[in-house]
Amino acid sequence: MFYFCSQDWRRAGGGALASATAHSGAVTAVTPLRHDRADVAASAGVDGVVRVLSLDGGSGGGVALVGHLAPVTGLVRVGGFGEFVGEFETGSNGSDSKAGHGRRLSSIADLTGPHRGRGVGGDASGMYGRNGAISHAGTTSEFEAFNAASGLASASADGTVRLWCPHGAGARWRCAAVAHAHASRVVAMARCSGGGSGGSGGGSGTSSGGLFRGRLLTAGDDASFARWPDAEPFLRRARVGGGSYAPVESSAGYRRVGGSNPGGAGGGGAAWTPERMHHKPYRAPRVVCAIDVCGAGALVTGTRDGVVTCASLE
Amino acid sequence: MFCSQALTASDAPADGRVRLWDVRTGPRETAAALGGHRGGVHAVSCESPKTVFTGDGDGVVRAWVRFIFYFRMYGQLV
Repeated sequence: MFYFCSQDWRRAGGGALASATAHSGAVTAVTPLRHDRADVAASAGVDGVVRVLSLDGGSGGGVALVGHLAPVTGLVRVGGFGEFVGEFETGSNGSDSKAGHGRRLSSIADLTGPHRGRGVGGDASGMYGRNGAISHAGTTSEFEAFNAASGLASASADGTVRLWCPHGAGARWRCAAVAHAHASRVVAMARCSGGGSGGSGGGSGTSSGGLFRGRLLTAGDDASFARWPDAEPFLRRARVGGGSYAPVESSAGYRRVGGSNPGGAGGGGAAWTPERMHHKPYRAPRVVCAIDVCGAGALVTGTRDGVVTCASLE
Repeated sequence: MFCSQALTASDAPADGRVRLWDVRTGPRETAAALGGHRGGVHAVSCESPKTVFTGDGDGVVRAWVRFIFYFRMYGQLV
């Protein structure tokens, strides 16, 4: 006796599993937080906010990371937020309600992890909660599960690239670093996944497929490119050494927080800088709109005039 | 808009439907068309092996999961 499992995307057309209204404008980027969970994600929008979401059918919880002064144009996950292991668990018939979570859910709002405490609840007041810079309301147990090297990297049209990491208990987040590398807007961001699973970073960086694994790449609209070092060691140091950091809070709304790094000397600081820059001037203006990169060192770039190029990161 | 993960690619035109393409089956055969967004789809993530996340112009983020079929087959002893 054996089992045969087939996974078919055609059945996904019946409707979304979970959703949340995350931003007041368009969503510009979205990334999963855990490979084994479909009800948590991070998103970025034209409102300049990075959200850490629980797809609860409502406003998505209260984690809102603010600091960008312009629309966020790129968002990538840094580090391991949970590894995907094996196939999904389902019952013997296809109508089971587990729906890819590896456990039975009573509803899409059930976020209680298999090894953590409480689920959704909290006291969300308004869309993003009460706090200004780094706020939360509910779903705290889920977001405390990130390891010391996990975080998010975001790029914005204000020209900055920011690293965000969880901070202490209670699902607080903070900006671990803010850096400028491009003279103009940052239009795209990508992370070298190392091929294969396309998942979290880590592992050996010496294999042929993982030479640039964990590296971040950003592109400016002036066709400049920046290659950033692996952010995981930086985030690990920032989380260990940033204990004295006090999150900036605003009672008047999250938009009151300025664009500089609120961590100052106590946070990760500005030590996170690009390890390599590239800029090739073109005769005609060439606006980069999308990039993709693999761990083997290939960078694919698309421009607004329809040109797709492939280059080496070496 | 284009993203890729393993053998699945997707595009997200302005009509709010996300089309998934399985590059193994040919260039003109879509694996799925995910409908429900309004205001056009502006972001797609295929990074997770089992889930596609999409975001639209209204600020809504949605998660799509592959439906799983199980076929139990019984072998015969020779």
